[in-house]
Amino acid sequence: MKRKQKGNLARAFYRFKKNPLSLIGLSIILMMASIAIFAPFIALYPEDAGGAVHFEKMFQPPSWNHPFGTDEVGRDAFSRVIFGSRISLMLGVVVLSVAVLIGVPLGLFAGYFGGKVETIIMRITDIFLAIPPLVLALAVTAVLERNLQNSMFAIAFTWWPWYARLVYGETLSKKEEDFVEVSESLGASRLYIIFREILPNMTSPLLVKITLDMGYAILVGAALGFLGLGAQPPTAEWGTLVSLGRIHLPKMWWLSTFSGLAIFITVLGFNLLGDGLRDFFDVEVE
Amino acid sequence: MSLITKRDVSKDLFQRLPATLELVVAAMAIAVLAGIPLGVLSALHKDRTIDQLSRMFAFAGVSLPRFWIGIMFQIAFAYSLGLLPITGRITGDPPTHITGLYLLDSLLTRDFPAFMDSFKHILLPSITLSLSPLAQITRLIRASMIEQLRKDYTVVSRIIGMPENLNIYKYMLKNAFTATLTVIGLLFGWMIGNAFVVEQVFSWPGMARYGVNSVLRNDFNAVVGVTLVIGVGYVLINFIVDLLYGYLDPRIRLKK
Amino acid sequence: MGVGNTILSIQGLKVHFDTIDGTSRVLDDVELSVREAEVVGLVGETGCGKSVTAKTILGSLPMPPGKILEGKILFLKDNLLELSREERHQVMSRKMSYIPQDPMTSLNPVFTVGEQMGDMIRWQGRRRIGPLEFLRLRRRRDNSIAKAVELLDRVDIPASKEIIRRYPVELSGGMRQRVLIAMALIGYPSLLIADEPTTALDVTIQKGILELIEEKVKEEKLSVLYITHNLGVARRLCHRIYVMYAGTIAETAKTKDLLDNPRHPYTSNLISSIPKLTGDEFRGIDGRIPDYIDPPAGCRFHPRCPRVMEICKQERPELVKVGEDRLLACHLFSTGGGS
Repeated sequence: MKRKQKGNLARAFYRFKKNPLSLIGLSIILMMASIAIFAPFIALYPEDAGGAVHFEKMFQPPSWNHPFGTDEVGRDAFSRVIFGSRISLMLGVVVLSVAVLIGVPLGLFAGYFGGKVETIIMRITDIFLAIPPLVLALAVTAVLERNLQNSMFAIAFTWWPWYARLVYGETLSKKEEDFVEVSESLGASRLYIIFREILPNMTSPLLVKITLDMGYAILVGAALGFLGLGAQPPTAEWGTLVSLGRIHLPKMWWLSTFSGLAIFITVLGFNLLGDGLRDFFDVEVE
Repeated sequence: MSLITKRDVSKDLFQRLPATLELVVAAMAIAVLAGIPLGVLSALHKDRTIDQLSRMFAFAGVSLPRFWIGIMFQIAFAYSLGLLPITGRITGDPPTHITGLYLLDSLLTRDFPAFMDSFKHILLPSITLSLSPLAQITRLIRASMIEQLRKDYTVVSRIIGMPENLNIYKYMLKNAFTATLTVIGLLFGWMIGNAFVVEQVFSWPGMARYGVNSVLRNDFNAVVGVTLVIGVGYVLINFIVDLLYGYLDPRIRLKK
Repeated sequence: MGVGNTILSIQGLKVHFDTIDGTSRVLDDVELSVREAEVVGLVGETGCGKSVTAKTILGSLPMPPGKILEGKILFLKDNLLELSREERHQVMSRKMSYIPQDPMTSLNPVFTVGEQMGDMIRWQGRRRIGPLEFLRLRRRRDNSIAKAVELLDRVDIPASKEIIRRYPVELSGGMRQRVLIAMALIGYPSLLIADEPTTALDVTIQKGILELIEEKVKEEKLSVLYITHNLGVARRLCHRIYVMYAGTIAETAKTKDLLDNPRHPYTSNLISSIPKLTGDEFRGIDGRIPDYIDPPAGCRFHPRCPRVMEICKQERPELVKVGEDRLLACHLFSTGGGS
């Protein structure tokens, strides 16, 4: 009389499919990623992404030749926005990688070893967590030279504590479980236990957080760019583009509008996907 | 001591503090006053139109770059429609200084033209700043209320005969709100930290903008000063939240 | 015991539940009745459908996944299933009440006992209150609190005036359950549906609650539908018992008759599973409850029945009268065999 129950994976996919928003999020991200990768082929005037100037074409409103118009030195805004995707996405990837590479092991060690290690690591983490990310990033950029690399470094610097904390909490709850005891009694090395046993069990919340954070990191990066603390002209970074365009409001509305729109859509994509993943894994993430 | 203006950093700071404070409080008020009802409605009509709409709105709210949407607002309302002022805090003379909070001062001194003026000026920036927290509060309240709907005590109350709207707005909401409080505290801190982008766009003469300009001009002392103030404010808010938490949730109070 | 009019009568109730895996046929032709000043027990294993039955009567079964296919629930002259939400609310809200299973989670933790009871006393039965009315009536607090204290006294809670000001977290399980009983009795209901109210409590506390219920039945002519998986409790408290299995009623009789002379094999099994000394827990019966999405054909108990016959696998036994207040659904006795 035993009927076959739908497997857990099947149920999860059922849920994911029911959520068109996450599919939209995924497509947005894939689209943005392709744009970034194939930028030189998509942009109409690739040279405009850098320092080319065409004064004769200054301030043209959107048209067939220049879908997003041209800027104050005649560069094609569309191409600049296309190339801007590279910077922002790269920023997201770099920041997250650094944050994860630093934060995750620290959290694992703090959770597993306990004692002094735990206290030291978590205290430091707490201090960092107490300050809002943007403020810290600002403070860090204040002391360093103003360029893209440093802004990425600053953001990553403020980001890792969140991962340390998340992983720490998860480690604490996982380390008491049976499979850990079994490994320990079998004499597995502690590093092995940490990285091959405990870590894989927290991939779900980690993955969700990473996805969402990509969006937020890009947002912070753009904000720094907007304030002039990130990539410097003539590099075409989305935030910088918005701030450059701002001076010429309201007549040259196209300059700020499209670059900002690009930020919005990208971040939206990550948020949609992250939310969908969260439902998919049925997980609680801060 | 500021390196650039050669004035006492603290004086500069505190002169601008009320502006930021007013902005943040206004934005928070919007986020809470709009977010809670929206969240409750979304929870009650789960998966129906209003829920879907609020969900989309929530996604937009957290994804929008504040500086960009601020600019968009400016284009729409200030430049094109000419309804609201573009930048600044007030066009005419500020009201007599009591607290430094223009809205409050103008009310206290019955200076209604000044009040209307300040109000019009604060509208766009505070809405811009409130979008992300609003989205978050809405989602949070929605999630908490949905959880409350499933709780035993809600179901039991309803069966025994508690009127439905009383059950929702008094009993469930209080529980849901307690969970949201921590987040509101965090959001406050976040807002203080993020106000500078909005201040920049709207030329709001606040502390955060001062902070950014200091960074841009490598005015280290000023930067340190701003960071300190923000840090202290943050700690203060968390402290207040903890107190409120204990007040609202008797379980915490009594376990001590 | 004083047996009077029938106040609750369930006839032919069929309830389905839509799930991802299919349609779960949780209740299949349930028959049940409760009379005035009577305690009727609904006994069965976990998962047999007792709670679903209670929820269907109370109207708290979520209706999108749940569906009532057929049947009647007659309560004080009305068929609850035919009434509109409003009408049903009117009829039920004061005349029928409920005691939940877990006292630890059934009271709102952030309000005092007095607050919750006060609000219930003031507004029980209303569908909604206007905000103005709410504010105005709250001024006149005194009456409700006094009534609440009185109610707490009625359920033998000591220091009732103190308890009014306490939060649920400060009270023990037994106390909370008494508070819940007090709340249930606010409107002087005719019928009380008790969903395993003592399962979450210690045995010694249990005794107190059971005595309380007995007392109320006698004093106030209260009728109780007592749901439990514990035959020992049922034996102590109930005048009549319904034995439920897999969404159907297997057998029902006066308590003494049922326990001295069980006829349905499931009932016999239940009785013999009770450890002799304490009469508390089952030791279990072979097999498990059936899959409601694909239930056994014929009699739902046949796969586990020690006396199964061919006909049991094909035809569903009807519930027939085999004595005074006695119904039975089993082929063994319809064909006149065995005892």
